[in-house]
Amino acid sequence: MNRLAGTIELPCGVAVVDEGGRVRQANAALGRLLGQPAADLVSLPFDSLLAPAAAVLYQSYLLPLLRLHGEVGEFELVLKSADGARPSVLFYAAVRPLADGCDDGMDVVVVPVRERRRVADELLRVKRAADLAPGMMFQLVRSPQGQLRFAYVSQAVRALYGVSAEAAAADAQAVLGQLHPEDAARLQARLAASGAGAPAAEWANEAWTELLRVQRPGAAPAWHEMHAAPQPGRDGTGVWHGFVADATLRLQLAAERAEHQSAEAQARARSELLARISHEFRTPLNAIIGFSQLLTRPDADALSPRQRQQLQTIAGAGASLLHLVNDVLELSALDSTPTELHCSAVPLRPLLAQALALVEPQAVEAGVTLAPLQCDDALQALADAQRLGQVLANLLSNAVKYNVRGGQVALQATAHGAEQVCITIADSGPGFTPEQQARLYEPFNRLGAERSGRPGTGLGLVITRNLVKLMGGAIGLHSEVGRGACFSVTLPQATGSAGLAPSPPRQALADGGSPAAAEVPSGRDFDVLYVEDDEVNTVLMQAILALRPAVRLQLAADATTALAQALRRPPALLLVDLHLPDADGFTLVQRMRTHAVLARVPVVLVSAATGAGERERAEREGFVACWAKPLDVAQTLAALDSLMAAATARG
Amino acid sequence: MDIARRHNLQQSGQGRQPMLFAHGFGCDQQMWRFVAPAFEATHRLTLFDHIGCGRSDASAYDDVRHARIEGYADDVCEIIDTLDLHDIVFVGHSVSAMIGVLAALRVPERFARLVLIGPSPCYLNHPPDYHGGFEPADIDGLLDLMDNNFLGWANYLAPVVMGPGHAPELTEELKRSFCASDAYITRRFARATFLADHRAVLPRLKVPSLVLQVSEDAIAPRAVGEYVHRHITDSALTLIDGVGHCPHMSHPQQTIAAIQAWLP
Repeated sequence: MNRLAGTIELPCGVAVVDEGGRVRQANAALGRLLGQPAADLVSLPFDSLLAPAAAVLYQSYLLPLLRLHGEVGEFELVLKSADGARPSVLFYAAVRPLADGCDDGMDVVVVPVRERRRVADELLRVKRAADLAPGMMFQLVRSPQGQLRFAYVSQAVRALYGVSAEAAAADAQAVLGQLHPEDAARLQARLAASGAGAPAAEWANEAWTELLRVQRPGAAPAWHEMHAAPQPGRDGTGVWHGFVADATLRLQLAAERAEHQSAEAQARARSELLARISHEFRTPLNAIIGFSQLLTRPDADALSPRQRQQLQTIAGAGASLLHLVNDVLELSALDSTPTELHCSAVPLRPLLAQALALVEPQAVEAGVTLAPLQCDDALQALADAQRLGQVLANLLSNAVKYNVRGGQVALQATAHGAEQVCITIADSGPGFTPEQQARLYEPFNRLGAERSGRPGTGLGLVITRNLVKLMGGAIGLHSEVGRGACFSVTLPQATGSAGLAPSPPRQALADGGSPAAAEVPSGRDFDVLYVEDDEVNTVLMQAILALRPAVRLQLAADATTALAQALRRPPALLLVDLHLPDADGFTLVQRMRTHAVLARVPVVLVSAATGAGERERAEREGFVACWAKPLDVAQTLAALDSLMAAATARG
Repeated sequence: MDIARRHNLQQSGQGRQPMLFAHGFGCDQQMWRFVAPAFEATHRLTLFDHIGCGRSDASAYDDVRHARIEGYADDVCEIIDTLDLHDIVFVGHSVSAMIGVLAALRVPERFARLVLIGPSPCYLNHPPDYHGGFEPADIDGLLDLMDNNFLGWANYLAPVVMGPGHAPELTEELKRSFCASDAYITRRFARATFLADHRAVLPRLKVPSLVLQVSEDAIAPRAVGEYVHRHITDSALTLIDGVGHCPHMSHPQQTIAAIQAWLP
């Protein structure tokens, strides 16, 4: 019997399949879909007409379903046509007793889908985009009874809230219940507000963003950002479309950045404050050091030994304070401004020998022996020669200072492979405890040495370490209590010829000469104009220059007065302070030089601010020297003497 | 964790020796209803649903653990532990045949025998020596087709059942749950199943095994069944003449007979 009678002309494929799974009858439309005559389909297994993927679902899902329920419908499958095409069809089937026996067979109908296929593909693409995007897309719906549910959520709901889309669809509480109570309340208020009162046309465009805290059991607290736009419904219903993104990482990074910036700003402010305070110390120090030096000069008025000793105490205290001020200034300069380094291949042996020689007097006084230098002649480091000298001076001075009488200091440099050199400074002092080593580089921490009576600021090692780091090196310490300490400075090794040797330490501007560098000139008057607004400084300079009878000192407290005085009586030497009430020292000098009579007057900068910047500018502008306040009496006199000698030589 | 609830464990039977039935991809424990009752007189039966299938607890799904079928084998071992099963006859269909093999390699002392229905250690072709039946493009096509049918739009995979059906004894609730599964999990289960390759472990299996193979199976072709038989030392192969991948549903009497004939 032909069960398919009357189906021949139908536009959909129809087949009868027996219990064994083979095609018993097929109509012409099924034959067309499969690209072969309907008669050829008979007795083929039905799943052999399907594409492999469809065969899997047919066997593992549809057939078990049919076995138990008898009918299935509207299931999409893909056929395997003889001409290679893969037509999509909707599959319907029902189990029926076959008329010619007691076995069950089944009637199958397949309906081609073409346009719908394209729509479905497009929908699937959108769905996958939503599911794979890093965030949760949603449609939140409020029922007339006020119940909220997520009619749609993308798969990210699992990652963000650990619940299935189905649970969220049943009740939005599955998601909202995980919010921090305060944030949940705020969100509920927001949802309530966008529904109530306002005309629907107004709140339709009112998109909002809420930052929500999420506390999932067993998961780290998280921040979620919910963006949503509401759409009004009738009877108090509403729909919100939006997305949720995990903002935890972004907020953490922002917080860390802000913290870092504020810490940096604080550090900068602190170091600027320190620099200013230190600078302010220099003016009073100028008076303390200058006058105590003047008073203790051998040719000064007779003092009792006791008074002389007290004055030396004042001078010593002034010198310590000045040392501290200089260290603080250097440290804050290293902190706040990128220090200019001139790194080049530095032959180590001469540099190390010089550093040892410099510390020799201190070692002799302390009763410490300096072991012979151990350093290969050819060894070179990539470093700033001047800065490295500073580093060595500091470490050697510490090694001597904190040593024991009769102790030893050894300086050594060795190559570390081909890439690095290691300079070690070993002493036989008391060494460091592990606790001390942990706090070695804390500013102002003298690790107990403050009770030893040895002078120091607690800044030397900090500065030293910063310098080494700036040169791309590292500083280390190996020490045990009672067994001395060994500092090591590791630097990049330089190869190549020492012909590219470092430029000699830049010292174009004279700091002042060594005492008694020149004979004390006498005879002809030597006019000096000192422009300075601080009275203490003026009085000190007067006292110092009074030691040179030939000097005739004129004083001016501001730039205008100075210019007028200089024009009236052109000086042989101009001493100028940087900060004047009506101009800065540089401006004054530029103004003076526009007058022919003053164009060639030698100028010395006398300033408390004698950083590299001022020094370089003074050099550029043709100043002959730079005297740093506080002034050292002997150095100042020596410098003055050489300037006077030069002037005399010029005639 | 309540293992019984997690896997919807169902126990029956008057015998002493435990018989553990594991369903394959796409369905749940109800697919055993034509075969399992035949063993109730002689064995103590345990049926269960894999996580995400049937009436299991989908919240127990672990993205990492269940990304590979080894994780499903861990589940089986936990069931065995919880019920304190020994001397087990394990009956696994399709992917669960391999899940049983993996579990038996982990705790061989618990297993007496394995019945492997339509097993495949590897669904992908590895020419020239191995023909699993599928190309990588077929697996992509399977995922697309699943998405198109149910996984994409319904968040829950539930059968489209029309008419009164042929099982009036099923309650409405059971009907609804039949072959229902979590869409997200099922999609990942499909990947874990069809991309797995466990050919290398077969020779290590020492538990006596029966390979039940349908002569025309589009999912696990006959050559694959023969491959499994060749590579498991102590194995027998029984061929069921017919078409399909689920002989326990399409040919239940032959299936029962083949198992009973092989069991001692």
